[in-house]
Amino acid sequence: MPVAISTDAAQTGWLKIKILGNAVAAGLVGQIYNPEGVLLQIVRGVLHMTTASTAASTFNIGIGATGVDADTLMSAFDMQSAAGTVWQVVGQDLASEGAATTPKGILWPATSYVTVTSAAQASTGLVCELYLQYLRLA
Amino acid sequence: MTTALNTDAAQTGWLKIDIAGNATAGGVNSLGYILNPEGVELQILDCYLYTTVASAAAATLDIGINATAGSDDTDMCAALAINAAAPNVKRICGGNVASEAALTGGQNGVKWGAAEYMCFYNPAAQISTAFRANLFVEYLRLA
Repeated sequence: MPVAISTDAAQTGWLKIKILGNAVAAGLVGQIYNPEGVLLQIVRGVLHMTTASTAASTFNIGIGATGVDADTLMSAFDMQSAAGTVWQVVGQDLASEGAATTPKGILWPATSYVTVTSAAQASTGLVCELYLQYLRLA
Repeated sequence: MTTALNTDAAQTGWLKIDIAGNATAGGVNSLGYILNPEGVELQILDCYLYTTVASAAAATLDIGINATAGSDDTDMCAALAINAAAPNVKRICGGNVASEAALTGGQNGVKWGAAEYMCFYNPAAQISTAFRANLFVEYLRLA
């Protein structure tokens, strides 16, 4: 499974999703079903590149129904970004009383997925981790 | 050692570090350092300095991550005046970063290598006697 919830050590409140590249040139790489079964608000997100994709792949990552190409978390993000780099996923450039909507936060409905979709190039070789912190709105 | 991990009640995910000034002649000297407490690579996401007692003299504070204990490193905080009226709280790094931006540079967060130190240093010629503060650090385990 190229996209899976990590079973590494505890992350003190962060959901850790491991993403592995594959030979899919364009289409769904993988997805994660809402792990809480209730409406969530994703308040923070960080992407850590462990190994870059061999080819110049770009990913959309977002919230949607199963298999849907969604870019509400990251849009056409370069998966050849250097190994070891860390990227903001949920923008924290949000003033008091600002709407916490994409790309500065997003709702994750109880029966929706985080979907990871490749645009045009295969992502073979890619290893990265997506960390999400959320509030249970229930 | 004038810098130490704090052992007060749990901070629900925030590392709390006690910092104290000193009277070393000339002022320019290390205020202490903290070894990475997790032993794995960390990404510092947010950081606040709570000053409870101001420095008596016009000392300043550098904070940074370095492989060498006691180094003068400024990748988190550079020459911050620590003689302003206390109590006060200052944001040290993290915060105002847009989606898809790199989390590098002091203001945007910094990596803390598994065997590296967070170093506290007074780069000013003035001594830092009386200064007392807590640094609250929020991080993500990249392991």
